[in-house]
This record gives sequence, C-alpha cells and structure tokens, in this order.
Amino acid sequence: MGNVISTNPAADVLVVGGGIVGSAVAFGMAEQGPRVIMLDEGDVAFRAARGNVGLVWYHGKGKGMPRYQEWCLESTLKWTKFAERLHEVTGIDVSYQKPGGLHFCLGEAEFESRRNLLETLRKEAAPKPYDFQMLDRKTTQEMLPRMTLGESVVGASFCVHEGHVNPLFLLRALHNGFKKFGGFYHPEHPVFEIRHSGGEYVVETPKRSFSAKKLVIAAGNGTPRLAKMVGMHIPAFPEKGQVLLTERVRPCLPFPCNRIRQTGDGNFILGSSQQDAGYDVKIETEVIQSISKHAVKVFPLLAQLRIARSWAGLRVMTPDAKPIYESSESFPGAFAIALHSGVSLAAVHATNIPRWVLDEKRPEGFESFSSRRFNVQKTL
Amino acid sequence: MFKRRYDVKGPTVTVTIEDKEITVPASETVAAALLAEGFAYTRTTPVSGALRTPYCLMGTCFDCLVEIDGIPNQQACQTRVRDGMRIKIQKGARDIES
Amino acid sequence: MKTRYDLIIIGAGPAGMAAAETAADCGLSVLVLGEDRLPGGQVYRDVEQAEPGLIKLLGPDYEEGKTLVGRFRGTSVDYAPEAVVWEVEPDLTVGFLAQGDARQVRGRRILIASGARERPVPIPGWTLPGVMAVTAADILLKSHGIIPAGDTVLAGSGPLLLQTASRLIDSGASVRAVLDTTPFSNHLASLPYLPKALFAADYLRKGLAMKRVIRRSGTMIYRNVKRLEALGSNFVESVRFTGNGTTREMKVNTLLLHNGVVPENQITFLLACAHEWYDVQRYWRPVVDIWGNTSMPGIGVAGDAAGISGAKAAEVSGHLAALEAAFALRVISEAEKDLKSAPFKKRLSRERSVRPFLDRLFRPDPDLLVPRDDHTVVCRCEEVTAGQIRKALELGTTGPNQLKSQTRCGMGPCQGRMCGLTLSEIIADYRKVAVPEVGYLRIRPPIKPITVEQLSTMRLIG
Repeated sequence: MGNVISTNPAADVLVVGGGIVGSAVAFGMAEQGPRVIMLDEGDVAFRAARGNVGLVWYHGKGKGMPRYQEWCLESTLKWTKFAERLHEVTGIDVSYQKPGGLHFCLGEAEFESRRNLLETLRKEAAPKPYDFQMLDRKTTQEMLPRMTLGESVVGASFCVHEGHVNPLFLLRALHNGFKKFGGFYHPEHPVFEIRHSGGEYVVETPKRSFSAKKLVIAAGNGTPRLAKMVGMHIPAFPEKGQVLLTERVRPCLPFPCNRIRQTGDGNFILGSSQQDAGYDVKIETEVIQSISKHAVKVFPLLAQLRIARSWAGLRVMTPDAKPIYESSESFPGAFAIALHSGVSLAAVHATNIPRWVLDEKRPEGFESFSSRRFNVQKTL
Repeated sequence: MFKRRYDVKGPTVTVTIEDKEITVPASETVAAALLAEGFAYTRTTPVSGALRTPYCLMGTCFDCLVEIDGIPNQQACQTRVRDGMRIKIQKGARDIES
Repeated sequence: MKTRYDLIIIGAGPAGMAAAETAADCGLSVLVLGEDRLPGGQVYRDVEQAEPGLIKLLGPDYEEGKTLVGRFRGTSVDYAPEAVVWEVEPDLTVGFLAQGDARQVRGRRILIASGARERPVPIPGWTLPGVMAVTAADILLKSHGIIPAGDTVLAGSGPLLLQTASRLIDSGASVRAVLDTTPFSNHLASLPYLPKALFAADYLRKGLAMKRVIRRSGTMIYRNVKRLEALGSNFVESVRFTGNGTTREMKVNTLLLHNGVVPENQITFLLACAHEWYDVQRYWRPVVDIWGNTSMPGIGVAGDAAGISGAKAAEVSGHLAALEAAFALRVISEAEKDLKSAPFKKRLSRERSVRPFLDRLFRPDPDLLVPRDDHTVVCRCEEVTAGQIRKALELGTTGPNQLKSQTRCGMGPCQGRMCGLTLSEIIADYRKVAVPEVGYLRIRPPIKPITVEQLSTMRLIG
C-alpha cells in the first residue's frame, strides 16, 4: 500500500510532522477511527527520528518535575504492549528488548552525584516507587561477562525497566500502522502557513492546502514557527548530538547503557554529545574523538572495533529539557508538542495523547508540561 | 579461478592460510595470494552467510574482508603479505577479542 | 612530514602527480597522499616496477606513465604512500591513516585527485564468487602477473572492456567471449559527436586493433547483449544472456563485469560540494570550472574525480589545478598563471575532444542501471535486493536517505560506493522522475574505516 493521496483534503485531525512524535500520535488517533492526515517533509530534512540511538529510558529523567518522571515511567511500562500492538497490526518487529539498563559512573564523584540524583528523584516520586539500584564495580562486571570494564568505572546505576528498540523500524511500523488504520500520509508537503478560517484549521503547503477541525503540530524544530500561528509560544530549539556506529559484532553487550548500546544487527552505537550549533549537522572530529575516548574508558575492548559511520542529529530541546505539551487557549483544538524523548514516550503518545486531542480528556497534571511554565508573555 | 603467469621467482614469504603454510611472492596482496592459490571463497557474509570473493581489488567494494593475524575484517586487497602472516576466512560478523 | 602545507593532494594518479610537479615548480609546499604502495593511480598502477614484458603487453598508454612517475619522484614534495584518507573538513583539515596511526594535516588548499571507480553492474548473481570487476583483472595483471585460469568471459560496455579483453588474451588467459551490452542505438546517436580531429582516428584505430586481437584468438564477440545473468549456487558456473537475437548460456569460471567508470566522488560529497548529474553517462560530478574550483572555498578537483576524461586529460587538469592553487595563494600572479596555463588549456581541449563521442557511444544500457529482477542484490554489503527497495518505495518512502534508514541499503562499509548510484536510479525509475530530483545518499565521515582506538588516540591538529 503506497501513499494514498487523499483527494479530499479535509480531515478530522491534521498532524504536522511525520517523525517519531507525529507518527505515534497519528497512529493512536487513526486507530480510534477519525480521519487523520499526516504531513511530512521530503528526503532531506532534519529528522530527529532518524538520528537517535533507540533507548527506551526512564531512570534519571525529570528532576524537578515529578509529573515528567511519572509520565516516563508510564510510557516505559506500556512499551511492551505497545510493541506487541505494532507487530500485531503491521507485522513489523521493532526489536524492542527490555533487559534493564545501566548508567556507568566513571570515578567516585560521578557515582555519588548519580546516586544523589536518583535519591532526589525517588523523593520526588514518593509515595510512588522509584526503581533503581546503585551497583558497585564487582556487581556490574558480573553482569557483563564478555565486556571488561575500564579501570575508572566504579559502578553503575541499574534500572529494570530500561530497554532499547530499533528506532528506524519503530518509525516504519508507526507509518505502516497509521496507513493500515486508514490514515493519509503526505510526504514532500512541508507546511508554511496555518490559519483558522470558517471554524477550521487551514494548513498551506506548496502543493495544496488541507483543513481540519483539530490540529497537532509535532514538527520537531519546526514547531515553534508553526505553533505561533495558532497562538502558542513554544520555546524549543535544536541541540546537536553526534553518534558513532561501529562494524557488526557478534552479540556481547546484553544491556543498553546510557551512552553505549549494541543493536540487534550487532553494531555498537556510541554517543552522546550536546552542542549548541544551530542547524549545523556537520560531524566534528573533536566531538567524535571525545565519544570514542569515553567508549574506551567504559569498555576498553571497544577500541579494536572499526567505526563504520557517524551521524549528527538535532534534538528538539526545551529550556528545562523537559517536554512541552501545549493546547492553544486562543485557538481551541490546536495542540503543539516539543520534546526530545520521542522514542521512550512513543507508547503514551500513541495512547494518552490521542485521548487528549480527540476526546478533550487532558491527562492529569498536564499543566506541568505547558509552555506557560517558562513565564512566557503571550504577545498574541 | 586464477593462476600466476610465471613460476614464482624473486623474493617470497611464507604465510599461513586457513592453517596451511604457503609460499607466495613478497609483493602480492593478501587478496591476490588468495585468488592465485585457488580459494573458492574468502568470506561469508554477516547477513546471510553467503560466500564471497574479492570483487573490485581497489579498496572500494569491501568484499575482500578477511582475518589477518587475529584481527578480523581487514581488506585483503589493501594488505601486502608478510612473512609469518596468518590469514583466515572471515566467517560472518566478527567477535570482540579480549 | 609536517602538519601544515600549502597544498594537500589526495591521490597519486596522473592528476595528482602532475599537480604535484607544477605546484612544486611554483614553490608551494606540497603533501601527496596516495592510497597505494606506489604512485600511478589505477591507469599507471605499479608502472615503476613493471617488467619490460609486461610494459610491452600493456602498450604505450601504460608505458607513458613511467615518465610521469619519474618526474613525480624527482619533485621535492612530501609523498605518503599507503595513506588512507578518512575525513576531509571544510576548514581544509585532512584526516588519514598511515602505518596504523590516525593523523591530521591541514592545507591552505586541497586538491582532490581521487580518480574513478567502477560503475556497479547489478546483474542477477553478481555477488557470486568468480564474478569480478574488469578493473580487478587489470590490477591482478599489472601488479601481480596473475590472470584468470579456466574459461573467462567479459561482459558490459566501455573502452576498458575491449582493452582488458585483448590484454588478457595477450597474457595467455582463455577468454571465451566478450558480451558487449552497448545498445545498437548508441552507434547512431554518437555519430554527430565524432570529432574531426586526427586524435579521434587514433582512438578508433586502437579500438580496431583490440578487436582484431580478440577475434584472432577465437573469442566470440556478442553485441547488443541483454538480460545478463550470472548463474551458479556457491560460485559462478555459467553466464546467461541474449545476444544477436538468441538466448545463450555459456559455462564460465570467471565472469568480469564492466559498465564504465564513474568519478570517485566520496570526498566531494562528504564536503557537500555542489554536484551536477551528467545524464549522458549517468553519474554525479562536482560542479567545477576549468581550474577545478568547486563550490567550497579552497577545495579543488582534478582528473576523473571531476568527470571521466581519461589519463591524459587528468594529467593536464592536474597542472591547471596546481597553477590555480599557486595563484590563489598569491605565489604567482594572474599574468603568470595565464601564461603558464595557455598550453595546458589547449591540450586539455584536445584531450577532451573525443569525450562527447565516447560518452554517447558507451552510454550505459538502462536495463543495467535498474535491476528488473527483484532478487538482484543492490547493496552487496547488507544484501539488500532490488525487490526490497521497491517494496519500501511502495510503502511511500521517497528518497535515498530514507530508503537507507528503512532497508539498510548504503549502511555497509562501502558506504554506497557499490550501491548508491543504483539506489538513485531505482528510485527515479519507480517515481518516474529524473535522477537529480531524487538526489544521492548523504556521505559522512569516516569515508574509510578507522578504529575507535585510532580515533581516540589521534593527535588533533588544533
């Protein structure tokens, strides 16, 4: 089934953005029955969806915003069923595995600081449980018989809920499932204008316009520009991350780790980095060298592996690094999403967010995620 | 299926290919030696285990990957033979060696 | 070796060597990075060590390389053989591997003289042991005196097809047939481009001589060949084709494929230089002026890497690019550049005059660019078939980079050198648009493998 170009450009909901976030929300909405049209850019686009490493991760996130860590946990716990549903609908196995995850600490100071962070999160989560363990070096090494730890690894935090997935398969499955549920996907249709007219949202692309009663803007770093047109100020900005990928290796690392994981095909993915570089996606030698150095510090055996390729992606970052989920006050029925954990949150994006958009059932405590938390003056 | 035009003369080295000791011209690349010595295949692919031999011999195709002196996935066409070199067929994906 | 140079030349073939000579003459500090053990590139491979018998066999076109290499050796440039470039950055930093170490150097100008590579020939069974590129046989002959044993067949199109066939016959190989896939319609279409110069007659004479060698040995030549297939289970056992009207199957031990050469443009794509699609010969080439300037400041290209023009043209373009570098670095004046370049410009024009004719005569058969059989492997590294790519296209993917994500085509160690062109052709064919609209794979470093160890211990130039 190819792209069924809808002859009717009117929809119940328009989703602007075909990445991990947009397609998860679109998938979940189309599953409920409404007519959903998803608009996307072309082959050369920034696409955070193609640049991430595939962790489904929870522990360590959300300090200072208990609602966020709760949201992460909810998604993590729903992920297994979500992966099964995707397989059931599309036949695609997104290779989701949940062996638990390790976050390595190099040096005592890092270990203490990690422990403190997780203890704080545990307090913020209370009375709900917060699952993690601080493991000493010996225990950590016992979990990794084939991968000798570097000298400076003093231990790790471990959480049973962590997992990893093939993010490219995930994206493909979401698109596939979306179409199977009757959704219409239009690539090569970048949106340049949105307006409200005659009780509907009218979205303009160079090829044609579309209309719908409801609108979800999940266009990655393109979201701020578009959201402004419908009364929302979304202070998201690009944050560059660079990643290295090694040659294929027979399976030897059974757990995803915070900056290193071995994919189902056997390649090691080595990350990560954060640069404030605007929209520049060039690879920087200093950065990938630093990624290599870190990898070798954790697992000296990685030194022998060949780097097959590198890539740079632009995360969708917000001022406090936590998600923005906004519904417009001045333009009811218009929603905007900006966040950088699209893979981890895909499960709730496919279930909870559609309810919010379609049934107007805002998830509890969602005010925390509003962009108004940045004390932004609305100039609209 | 390849052959050397002339009898081997000039400097030679002794290498081990799949545990068999063979004397080859010192100027040969590992790929050339493998072809001249009649090896039916030089690697099996990590994806399906398909048999491969070198295709381009100029460093472009990466089909000539073999294990040399214990280090896997080396381009045979870019490596010259050396006395005492141990060459093995690359079987599928590599291992991580401790 | 220093860390900074006026001019860094990547490639030690005719373009690179000529550029080195002229750049040194102008007083520039030069570093030449060659991938091979000896200078010469592909066309003059190992000419320095070639025995007289081999030189005679390969002919004057090869022998000329000896003089060029001799002159190169006589220059004062720094030359690093067996240097593998893995990264070139817009700030003119070059990352390369030499003797197992990763190093960085920086130039005030870079000249990319990386030459050409074989166009992939994705026929069914092309990944079978015993199927190789024609240039591979050329390398075995030139460098090692190794020739195919058993029955050999050459298939495809282009000047190198006949040249290699006649060389192999002269060297004692048993060449059973040459299967020429050059479409008959090319002959008519190319006639208007036949230049009147004596030069073209010289070229045609060489072609006829090769055909005579081939025919005299009893080798069959089939023309207008279609539906090429390599058959066999664990190695190639026969080649099937339709030629002169009939479908035949011929037993074979070695099948050599060739469908022209294309620019080795991994570096110019890595640098995001502007490229244009040269439709006559179905390849991408960087947009350059006569001096080899690309769209990126300080980056020049000479030789086949800028567009296939042959060894002589490559040499001349190398001289011109070096003069441009010297002028850009204000070592020579514009007047001096104009004066010195005049004879080269004239020669370049002459050397290139046969190109429009040759390019049209040997325009690749469209059936060899887009595999029709779904089982044909397109990406050799990841074993992605034409059928898998078309399936992803059916699901709505539109471009090569998305297809790479979806199918893994282009994700292997060769980084699209063997599959990138085919991928773009398949997409263009499916979407019924021109290839330029489809685009090409995005190329990122490392363009040759580098270990985590090598990268982590490399001293940064700063």
